[in-house]
Amino acid sequence: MAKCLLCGCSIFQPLTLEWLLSLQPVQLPVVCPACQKEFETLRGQMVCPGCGRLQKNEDLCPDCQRWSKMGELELLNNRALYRYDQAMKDYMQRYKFAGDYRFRLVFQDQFSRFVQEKSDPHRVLVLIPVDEQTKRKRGFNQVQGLLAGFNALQLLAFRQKEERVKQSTKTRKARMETRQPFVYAGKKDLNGQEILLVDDIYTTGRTLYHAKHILQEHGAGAVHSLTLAR
Amino acid sequence: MELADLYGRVLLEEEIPADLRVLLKDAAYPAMVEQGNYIKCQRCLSKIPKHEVILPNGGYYCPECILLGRVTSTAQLYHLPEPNSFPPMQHSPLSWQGSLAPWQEESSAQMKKAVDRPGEYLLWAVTGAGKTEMLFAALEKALLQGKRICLASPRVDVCNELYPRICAAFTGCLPVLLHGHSSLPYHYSQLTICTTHQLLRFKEAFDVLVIDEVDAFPFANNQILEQAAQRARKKQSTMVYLTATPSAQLLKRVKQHQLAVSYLPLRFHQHLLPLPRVFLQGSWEKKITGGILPRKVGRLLRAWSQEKLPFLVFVPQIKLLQPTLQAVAAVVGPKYQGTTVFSADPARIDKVQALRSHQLNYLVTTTILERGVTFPRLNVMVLGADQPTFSAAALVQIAGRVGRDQERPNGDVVFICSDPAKNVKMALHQINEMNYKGMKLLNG
Repeated sequence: MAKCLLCGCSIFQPLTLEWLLSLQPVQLPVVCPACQKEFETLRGQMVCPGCGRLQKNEDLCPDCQRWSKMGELELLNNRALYRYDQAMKDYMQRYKFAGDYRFRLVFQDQFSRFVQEKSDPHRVLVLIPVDEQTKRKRGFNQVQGLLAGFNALQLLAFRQKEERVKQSTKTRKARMETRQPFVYAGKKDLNGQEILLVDDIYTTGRTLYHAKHILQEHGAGAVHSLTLAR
Repeated sequence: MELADLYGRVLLEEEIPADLRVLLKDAAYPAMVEQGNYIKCQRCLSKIPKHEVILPNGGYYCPECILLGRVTSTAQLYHLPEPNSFPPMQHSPLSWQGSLAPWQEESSAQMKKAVDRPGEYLLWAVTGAGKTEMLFAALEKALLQGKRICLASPRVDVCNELYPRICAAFTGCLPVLLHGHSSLPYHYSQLTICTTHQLLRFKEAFDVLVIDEVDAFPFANNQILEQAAQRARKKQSTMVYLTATPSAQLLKRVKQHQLAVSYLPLRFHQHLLPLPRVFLQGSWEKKITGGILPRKVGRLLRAWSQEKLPFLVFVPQIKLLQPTLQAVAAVVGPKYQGTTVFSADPARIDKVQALRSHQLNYLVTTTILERGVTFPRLNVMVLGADQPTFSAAALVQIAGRVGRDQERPNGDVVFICSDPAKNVKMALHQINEMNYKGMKLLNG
């Protein structure tokens, strides 16, 4: 019997006729229904058109209005799968910061399907990278872990030399004042190519907008983004 | 950090400052070892199938002890053997002035002897017997001999409660308190108080290792923690298990003479344990979800409320808390106030405090309050005592909440169940057995 990754309880999964007739292998669940319910989905909810945050109307949220005021002509039109609430924060703590790589399986299926739905042939998938130091310590890229079966281009890299301070350790003000951390890692000019950025969390949007700017400096067309949590 | 902070410990690279690490090249060893299709963590000794924990960079990590900081196959662990380099004590470190009852003296003397005789011991003391005080003489002796001692418990609240008591009793040494929520820094001390999880950071360190509440979650049936406890003690050392409700495994080892046992069947106030009364009531659950209490239950609770006695009602599942509270409230009237408590309840500690200070008169709770809480004049009722949520040990512990004060050394314990299941019978048997032993003591 499978054990829930989050709470450790045993998950009972009845074998149904539907499954029997589908001739598919048994798909053991990784999370129990009670834990799954802790996460608040944003699918079919009313969200801000700019960043995908949960809200009561369809206008731009104050954060996105600020981005517009700061001279952003096109917003990222970010869409997220879940709300960045306490349950998601705890999850990220264990997956990213404690470094339990098994936790990627909690959302891998759902997030891969979500990205699959939103991507189309003329949009190139670009993942937000992890800086070298973190990657060496953590041993994985958390965004890559959440996706299975995608070919993403390595168009972004971290600026070398500079000691990078993690976004997650900063205050909102400090985050917004972060300078461009990325360099372009592609070989050719992007020539109007549309881009779909993928990251784990959209908090202030700073990182994703930096990524967008650097790609557009190298000729990218429209840039949109998807995240697991907002 | 000094070198001494590493004596008898197992630490990861990042837990040691870089300047110290240079000196410790010989003390390092790989943190994980490959064993066929498995990878073995050298800190928690668990074996994990490789394919489950492989990282994209080709390394492995241990998910079992990840909360203490992740162990990976590229990391090193550092360990220095325990030299027992404590300054010799001129005077006794014990400043406790209290005295022990004659039957407590006997157990105390046995524990004192155990310090010199390496091996494993079980101190089976009833709930509210004063186990801690009984250890003082043994601890004093070990401290004077320059031995290193650890008092460990699976429960953080037990450690937090133990620490000030030990500090007050042993002013001659500086104990150290370790657990995941503690902000006190580590220092090399002759006396360590910690949660059983922290034992994962020790290796062949202790001459005397005492584990309080061995049958409590998460230590019970946890192989990793059991191994950790065995590894944390020296090869020639004394291990003492303290509990009021030893598990079947421990009792089996007692029977096979692998474990020496010492009983303490009487409470400090010399009264026997209250014996639970069992009532069979087939349809209690249906009635309560329907909003009414079974008549017998209602009559009992009303009587308790008229006598102004605080009480606890235990239910087997969280979802039964609200219906039970409503049904009880209807019976005891609006003047008698109560609420519900469960493990994830953020206001848990406040509610328990409110019952103690008489702002509340009763609590409806899950097994979370089975141990570690003391209320004067308490009565207890367990609904569905036959359900598997309540192990025999849990039932004994619950019954042990009652009659813990001198003023009212007995009280009511009522088990409501739909059939007299094995756990109920075993609990009654254990209580009877201890009472029989206690009676023999009382009558000489």
